[in-house]
Amino acid sequence: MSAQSSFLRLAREGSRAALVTLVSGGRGRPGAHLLVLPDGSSEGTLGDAGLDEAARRHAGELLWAELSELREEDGCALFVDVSAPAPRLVIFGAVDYAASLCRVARAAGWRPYVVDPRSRFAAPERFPDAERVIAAWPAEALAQIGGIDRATYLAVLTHDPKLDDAALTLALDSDAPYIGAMGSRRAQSERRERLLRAGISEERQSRISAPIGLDLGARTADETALSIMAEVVAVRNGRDGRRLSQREGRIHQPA
Amino acid sequence: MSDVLERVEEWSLRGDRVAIATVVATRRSAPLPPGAKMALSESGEVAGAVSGGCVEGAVVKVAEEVLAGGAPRLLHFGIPDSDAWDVGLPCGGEIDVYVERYEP
Repeated sequence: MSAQSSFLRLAREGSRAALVTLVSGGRGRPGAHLLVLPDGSSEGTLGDAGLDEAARRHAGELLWAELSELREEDGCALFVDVSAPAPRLVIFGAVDYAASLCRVARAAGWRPYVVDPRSRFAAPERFPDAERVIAAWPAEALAQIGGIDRATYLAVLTHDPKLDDAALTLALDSDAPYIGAMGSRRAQSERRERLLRAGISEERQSRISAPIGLDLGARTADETALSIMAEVVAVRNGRDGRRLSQREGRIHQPA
Repeated sequence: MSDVLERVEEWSLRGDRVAIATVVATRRSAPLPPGAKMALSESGEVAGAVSGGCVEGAVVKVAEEVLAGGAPRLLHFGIPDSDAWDVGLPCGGEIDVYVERYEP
């Protein structure tokens, strides 16, 4: 099986992988491919050991940025084609808001997960749009889904201090690009105090997006879910979620 | 995207030779980002796209040459403003498309 065909199979399965093609240049074999996996291993060769090493480096940079890009290396043009799975949204708290959030996340092409140790609430039939519903404490649940990586976004909706704090403590120790937490201003200030007592500084807590969501004036659970999902998408794309009509510049380019 | 990949697999399993065209670079606003793909089977079927429809015809011609044994090619297209869409979508972009044989 060629590196190219391995890559297309991984892309079909929705796995994370990069295929580097030597598009042009004075070294190596133009047209050759190198497959690079997230663990840094590779398959195939561009026909030059130095180029292969450079290709692994470029692929490593783009695998988690989830961008396909043409890179220049010593006069050679390398195209790095990246495949990535749909990002994950892990929702803590099997509450009604979670069902709405699963629905909106799924519609946006994300993979929502629901985590709650109370098995009566964490019932799969309550969350038909969830990729998985896990009736376990956050540490065990996250272990079951392979931990938190740089494409795992977190929304804490529990309203239960014990569960809330367990999820947030793990979240703040992770690479998660987004940690949102629901709750009234008062609930938040109580949470801040509890986390401070647990030794988590204000500075580390500043990663928590609370109140969660964009300011849409949401009135229903579905509208609140939309406001959370809108914030998650904006964070993923490095945007602040303003109205396009009040913004200058490119619509599709990175911020 | 996964649809194109499914077609490539299907055509290839059937025994057809397949050419793949991939957008490798874009400048200014282009219809589709790097990584977008179009595929052509030996039997003449086409799947996917590399633009909003303005350059696909030219890409198919090159893909046929590649299928007939030609070397991989890097193509450059400027997309005229008149063909571009409006309302926050592509206007006057440029794209580079790499066309190659699929190796099963």
